[in-house]
Amino acid sequence: MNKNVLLDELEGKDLLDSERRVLIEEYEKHKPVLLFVFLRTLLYASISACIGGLGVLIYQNIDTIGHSVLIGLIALATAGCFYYVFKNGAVYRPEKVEQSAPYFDVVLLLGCLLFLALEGYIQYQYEVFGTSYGLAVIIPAALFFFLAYRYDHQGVLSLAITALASWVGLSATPSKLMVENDFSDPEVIRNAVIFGAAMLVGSWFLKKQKIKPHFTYTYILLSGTLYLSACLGGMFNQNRWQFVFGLLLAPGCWYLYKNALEEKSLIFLLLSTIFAYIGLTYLLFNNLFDGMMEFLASFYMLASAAAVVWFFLTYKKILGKK
Amino acid sequence: MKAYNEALLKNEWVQALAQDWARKNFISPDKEKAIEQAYSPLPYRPNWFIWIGLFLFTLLGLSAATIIFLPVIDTQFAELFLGPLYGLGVFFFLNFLIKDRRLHFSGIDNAMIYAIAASFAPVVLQITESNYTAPWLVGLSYLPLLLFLTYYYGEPFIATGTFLTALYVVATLAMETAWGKLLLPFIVMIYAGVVWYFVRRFMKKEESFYWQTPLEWVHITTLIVFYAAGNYFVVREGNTALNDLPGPSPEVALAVLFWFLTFAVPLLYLYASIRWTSLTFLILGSIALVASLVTLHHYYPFVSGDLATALLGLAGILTAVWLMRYLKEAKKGFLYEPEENSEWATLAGSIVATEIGHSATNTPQGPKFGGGDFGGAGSGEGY
Repeated sequence: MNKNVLLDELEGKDLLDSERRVLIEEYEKHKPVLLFVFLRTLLYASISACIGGLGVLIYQNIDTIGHSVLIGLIALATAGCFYYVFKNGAVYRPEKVEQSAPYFDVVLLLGCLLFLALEGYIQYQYEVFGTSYGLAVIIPAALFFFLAYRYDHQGVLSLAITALASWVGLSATPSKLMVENDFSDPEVIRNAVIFGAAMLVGSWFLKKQKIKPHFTYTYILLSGTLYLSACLGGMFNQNRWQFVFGLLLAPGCWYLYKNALEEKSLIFLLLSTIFAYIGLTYLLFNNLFDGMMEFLASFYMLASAAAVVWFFLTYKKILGKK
Repeated sequence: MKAYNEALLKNEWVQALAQDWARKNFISPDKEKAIEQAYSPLPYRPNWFIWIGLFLFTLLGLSAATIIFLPVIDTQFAELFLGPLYGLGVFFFLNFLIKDRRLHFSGIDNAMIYAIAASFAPVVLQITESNYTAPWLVGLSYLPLLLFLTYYYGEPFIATGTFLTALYVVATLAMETAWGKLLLPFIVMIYAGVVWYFVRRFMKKEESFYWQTPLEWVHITTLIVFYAAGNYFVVREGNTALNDLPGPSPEVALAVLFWFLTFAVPLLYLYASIRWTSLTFLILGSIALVASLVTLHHYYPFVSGDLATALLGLAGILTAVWLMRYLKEAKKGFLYEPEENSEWATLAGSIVATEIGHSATNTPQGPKFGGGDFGGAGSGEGY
């Protein structure tokens, strides 16, 4: 629809005086197209393409370049990144801090990634950590937690959480969550449940203390999904304990649900509903509907789907939230 | 006749504009309130995550609802008419919901529209298959329903599907003759170009308001198809596949022309992006340009793939940084300025960081010289 027609209409209805109308018309005519997301995406994609290509090139030519030169170069680049960060970072405050230095968040993230590459390289080449792999993983985890809190960077916090998860033998990377964690292994499930619960409780505590409360989002996104997936995994694979896992699933879903409302991040509402629905449906089908008529089961599916849809439509009303 | 109440859609549009004006201090909060009051109620359109939930559970409910057909599923009658009957049922129920709950692309109605489109598929297939087995006929007999749904609901996914179904009809029809097969790239390009022209012309008209979103989707799709049809890789490999030729694919006729198109079209898009200040053209042109460079490298690997990736990445970094500096102040209608922080940005930031971190930690443990988890030449497509 033509905006000038609308402006006429608004003016006619006395919702806009003619002076403002001229200003708005001018503004709408020359409103610039914002390229923030486009250029940021271009930058991130280019950086990963460049580093990826260089990485392989270096591997291929390692004999001519030499390990020590290479390690020196990576170390130099890492140090350069961290120097920039230390020099330009804003003062620590417990609330959300916006960094004013240009490209600060990119440089910090790059420094962390380079540090990971450097450490992995040194371990691979010289085995400085020997077989104590735990030490090799806990060092970056500790460093990243410090950097994330010091400079308020949720991306680095994600790296820290995944590093800590791999310390206990888990993968918290969203795309690898189902692939690399063997949820048929009781030990993996036990670790994931304990790790997830610990992180969630920790995030709750930190939020209460008002220390970087916006970090709760990242904690829940990574460790919450890990915890809930582990509960479902346990439910599916350890028949004897399925109700115990059901009981563990419930508070997890509730915690996500509660935070969805507090943080106004509805992805948690979606996740908690889906996990709770799968858990409940599995328990019902596995125990109640077993051997019963297909008809009843289908009726359950229809009714429950309608109920969830109704819930999504009215959750604001139920909770009295605008 | 339109399914959704157009007045509600207009209200939504006006309120969004008023909010923007208020944020930029063109109008006072009181005036914004007044406009909001004059232009209400709004259609129901949920947050994206709620949309996903509504969509998934509506699909689940729709599949479970087929259970009422269980007693008659094996009859002759059922095979032919159950689908359409179910589709009609959903159609009326949906129209009731749209009126009653003021839904507009809320996930619920999207799922139901797809269900309607799908419910007629078996009967169309059966009728066409029993009479004549031409692929274009199947597509053609499906088109009226799709056109009707596009017109009536203006649902973007269905609209894009309609465009692609018609493309399928055109392409399969062309392939019936030897000449058509030979000229297929040009036929597809002409088809996409013609649709693009009319879509663009229609978009400028007042009456197009109801179909704004589907028109934008089709607009993008026509541009993608237009580029792909002239791309050398698509033409050469497509030629091999369509004629069942043994690999490796042989050189095609008019190769020079297709090489020209491979690079001219992205540049044309980029030019159009500046000319019309269009983000759509800018994004498509950039992706197409990278795809063209990958195509060139595929047939003429003058440098190794990894060096090419690194160089491409470097070029991308330089371009991005230069544009970020250059566009600090609006030039030619473009501006680099932080946008409001959305939940998507935080979400993407967290996920991207862990994914990259994952590959960075993985590299040293992999085979000594085969590492590089960042995804070689293909990673350029992540733009």
